[in-house]
Amino acid sequence: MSISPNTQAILLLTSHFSKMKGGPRKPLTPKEWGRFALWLKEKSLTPEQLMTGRLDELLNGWSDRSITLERVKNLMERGAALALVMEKWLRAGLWVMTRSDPEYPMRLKQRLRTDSPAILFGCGNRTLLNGGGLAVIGSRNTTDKELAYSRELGALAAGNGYSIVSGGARGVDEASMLGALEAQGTVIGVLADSLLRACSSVKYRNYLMAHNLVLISTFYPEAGFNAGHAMQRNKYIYCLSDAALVVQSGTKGGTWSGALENLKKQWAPLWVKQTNDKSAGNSAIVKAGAAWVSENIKEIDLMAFFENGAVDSGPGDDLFSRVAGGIKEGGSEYSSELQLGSQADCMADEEIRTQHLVTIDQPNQPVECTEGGAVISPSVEDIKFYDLFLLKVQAMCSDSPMATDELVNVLELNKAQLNVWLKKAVVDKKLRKLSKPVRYQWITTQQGTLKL
Amino acid sequence: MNRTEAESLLQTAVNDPNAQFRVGQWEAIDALVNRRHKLLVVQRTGWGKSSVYFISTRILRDCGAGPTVIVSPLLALMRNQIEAANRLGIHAVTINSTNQDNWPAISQSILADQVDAILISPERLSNEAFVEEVLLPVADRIGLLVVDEVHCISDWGHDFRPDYRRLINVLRQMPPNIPVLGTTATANNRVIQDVQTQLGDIEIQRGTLVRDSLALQTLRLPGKAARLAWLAQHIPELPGTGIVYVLTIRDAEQVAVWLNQQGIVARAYHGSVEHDDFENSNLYRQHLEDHLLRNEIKVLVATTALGMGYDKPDLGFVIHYQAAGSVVAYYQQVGRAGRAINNAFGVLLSGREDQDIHEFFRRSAFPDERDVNAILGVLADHDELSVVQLQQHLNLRQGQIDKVLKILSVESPAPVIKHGSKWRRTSVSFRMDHERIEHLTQQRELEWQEVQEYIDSEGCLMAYLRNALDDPETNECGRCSTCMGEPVVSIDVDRFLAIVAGQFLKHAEMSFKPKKQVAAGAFQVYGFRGNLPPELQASEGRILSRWGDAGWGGLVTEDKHAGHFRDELVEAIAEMIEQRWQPDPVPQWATCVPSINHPRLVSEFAQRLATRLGLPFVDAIHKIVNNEPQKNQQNRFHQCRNLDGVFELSENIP
Repeated sequence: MSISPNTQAILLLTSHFSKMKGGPRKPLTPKEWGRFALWLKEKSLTPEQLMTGRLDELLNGWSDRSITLERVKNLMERGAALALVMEKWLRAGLWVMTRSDPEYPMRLKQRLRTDSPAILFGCGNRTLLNGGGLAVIGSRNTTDKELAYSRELGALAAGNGYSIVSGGARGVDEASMLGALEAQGTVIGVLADSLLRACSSVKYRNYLMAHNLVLISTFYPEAGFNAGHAMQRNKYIYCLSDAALVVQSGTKGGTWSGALENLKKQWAPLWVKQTNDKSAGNSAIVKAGAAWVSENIKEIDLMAFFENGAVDSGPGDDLFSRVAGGIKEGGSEYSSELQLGSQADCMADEEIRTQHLVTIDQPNQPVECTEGGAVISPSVEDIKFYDLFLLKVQAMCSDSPMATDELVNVLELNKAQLNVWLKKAVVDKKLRKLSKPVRYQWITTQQGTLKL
Repeated sequence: MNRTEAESLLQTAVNDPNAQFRVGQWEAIDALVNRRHKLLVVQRTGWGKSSVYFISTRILRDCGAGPTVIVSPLLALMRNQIEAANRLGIHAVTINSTNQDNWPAISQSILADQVDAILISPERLSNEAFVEEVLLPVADRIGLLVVDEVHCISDWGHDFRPDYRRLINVLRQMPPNIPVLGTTATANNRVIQDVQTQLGDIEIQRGTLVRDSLALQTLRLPGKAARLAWLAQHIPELPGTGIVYVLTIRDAEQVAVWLNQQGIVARAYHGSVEHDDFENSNLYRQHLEDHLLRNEIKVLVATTALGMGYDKPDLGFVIHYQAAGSVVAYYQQVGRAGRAINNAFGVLLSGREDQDIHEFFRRSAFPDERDVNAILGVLADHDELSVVQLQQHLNLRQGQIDKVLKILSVESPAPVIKHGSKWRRTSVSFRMDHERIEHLTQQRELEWQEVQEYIDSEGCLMAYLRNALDDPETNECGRCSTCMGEPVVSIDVDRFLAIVAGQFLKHAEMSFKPKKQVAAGAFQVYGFRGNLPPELQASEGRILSRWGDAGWGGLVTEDKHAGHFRDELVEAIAEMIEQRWQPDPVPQWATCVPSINHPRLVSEFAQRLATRLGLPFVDAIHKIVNNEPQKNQQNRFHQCRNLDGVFELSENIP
């Protein structure tokens, strides 16, 4: 794998390459990078151009108290260090993603705007990143009872076809992730430290190789534990999910502040496990706007989390690609990264999004209304993949239900993508999920009527 | 920076006010300094590659760029290069395994911007600790990267090295604002194309390989004795000093001993050569290189470990005791002779054993798939394991394990990575690339065929080599034995010398150095741990013959299968002990380590030997467990464990 010159330039400007701290080569913070990137865009410059060696000329007119020309120069000189660490990280099976990458999680861009991380380091199945799922949050230090609960919760999500999104820390995070993975579910792990080690650990390795797990981190992949990083990464967990559940929280600390931040920013609808522990912060989080969820796993209606969640865009939705595509026409791939990433463009971005929702939803109408499956589409490029999927599934699963693996074979689809669409089709009441074994049955209008 | 300014730097560097750039030198400097290009320069050794990178370094440093990093397999800069660098005011430092104590100080001076050029070996780049602790902290500011002998990054290269595979992946990640210079003197079109494919946008500059002073000759002499005799007889006739290339470490040692016995000052040189006066092999090898450089010895008897890029302008001859594996490898080795003198010789001797040795090299170039899978399987069950821990899980030689891990770890992405001293399985799936292995093996067979054609060539030998190297010019040289129509070095072999050489081969016993330490946890029954107590340590011994060797190996094999070792072997051992070894104190009694499978073979032989030496035979050791054959135990842990609780001592030992 080789990384594009733009990614190289962004890494040079924003990433650490060794554990040594300080010095004149302090990488730009996400906010600094946002500021600088915006200016580059205004000047119609790409980061790649900063590597041509004519920095004085290119940055003529740039003036910033913390991001001096000298600092940019120093950072850009780190090419050999970049090459050395990238060789190591890529060799270990890691990948790097920037905001202009088509697989970059759209939920992060939509929810975090300028704060969405410039660089994601990761390992494993990157397509899971856009699949959403259930965020599970809780303490590192917790009781066996809560660990068991977390594990069962993971298995429950897996059984219902939802990914678990969690932080990979010991305790609740790890238990929920392993619970899901052991039940053949899919998991997104958002790590605050030691990504490189986690990717070669015996507990995660096989799941990474089986494409059921993706581990990502916004920090230097060899970084050790850092409380600040752990706090910061909480927001990415919420923002990558469609619903969130706090297993246990104190009345301060990362879980507590992360949950309140999520409520405030309204990223993901939040549930909190019932508890008898008076010292826990669980009830205070509920008071702040979250909902209780039973401490008995069997009583949990997981589907309801997602139905009530009213997530603005499901993964099968092509909103992002359309937005990005729309802007792409005007410039390079890189400009789309800036469009979605920069503060000044948020308004414009919002407008484009709204317009798209209006205009694009119309071609959908025939599909929504059709029973027989005959669709008249204005043009091919307006057909959503998801709608096409529904048509195919309708044809296949109307007479008798089909298992996921059969569908994978017939449709020749990536399993992760298929699961995402199946999930959405269940939520949309297009498919009914049967259990033991898991199969999907198309819900015809007639059946719907009978049910009524 | 323009040509005139750069040329004045050249004049300073070579200390000659009239010096001018050779064809291609300024073009290379211009591409690196003014355009920050990535450049591959194919020029014969002696063309002046170091001038290019030192002048470029000077210019870049004057513009405020960081230091140049030079990756070179050569242990030390040659003296003339250091002088040239000094005249340009370039402060160059070497960071390698021999000066580890100075690393912090060197790092400090690099960080303080007092260093202009840093030399490291490609092996250093595969050492995670070195990269982590030394290289990365200073890599924040590197102005130019130079890779010497860049043909090694190609699988097609005759001496592809795993360490260079790592290097190429680093080069691939190098962003466009860092200029890179790759140099080689030995690359045919296929290798150059491969390097270009692997590195992408790299510019090629190619010169001619002409070598006017070298007189080539080939000679088939199947037996080792004849070749040893030829060497002893004709090396004294050859001008100046030279190199004798051999294929194995054992041959390097053996030929060096023989030449010294015949009054020719020779030293063995190979990857693990050591000397009591030197702290480690690297230091001693550096000493040997200098020794030859200063013409203090007549001959260095070397394996291919004698560094690529070893540049001795007045080397008088290069003789191959055994044929090289490919014409490209041969050209590179023989091309060391006669760089700056008018008369030099390159003689290729070819022996009976060459074929088998190269076949072995080809076969063992890639690890066995079963070993690979076994190692990956064990690592998959753990977070991380050391090589010692792997040996406990697997009955594989440490060398086998090291080789597998080395080859796997330079894949990108790789199924294993090293963390400290431990190996970790990554989440990268792995499958042996049989097609590629098959392809490369076939390629090597073809290359070996080409060497055979060279040996028997009836046309100009130099033209044959240059043609194989895709040199744009291939005129007849008019100097080689086929152009001259007569040998350039006599092909006579003195019959008496050949007989002496034959005896020398039969007397080529080896010393046996018993282990002093046992593997951890392997002797549960006997309770040995760590170092054996002094009273249990065996003294140094002698080995008359190793399985299948050139001296007695044939007889030993035959007799073992017949179930009886002949008297000639008893006599040979007795002679070795009495005439040459002469152990002190003198042995008082003899015994043997018995075998349950062959109860008579060894003990009967030992009894006859005791009788011949006039010593009592004592049946001191009894075997009480029928364990697995020791020869199937591949590493120290398994070798130790297989012996645990197996033997018992008799009561009546003198």
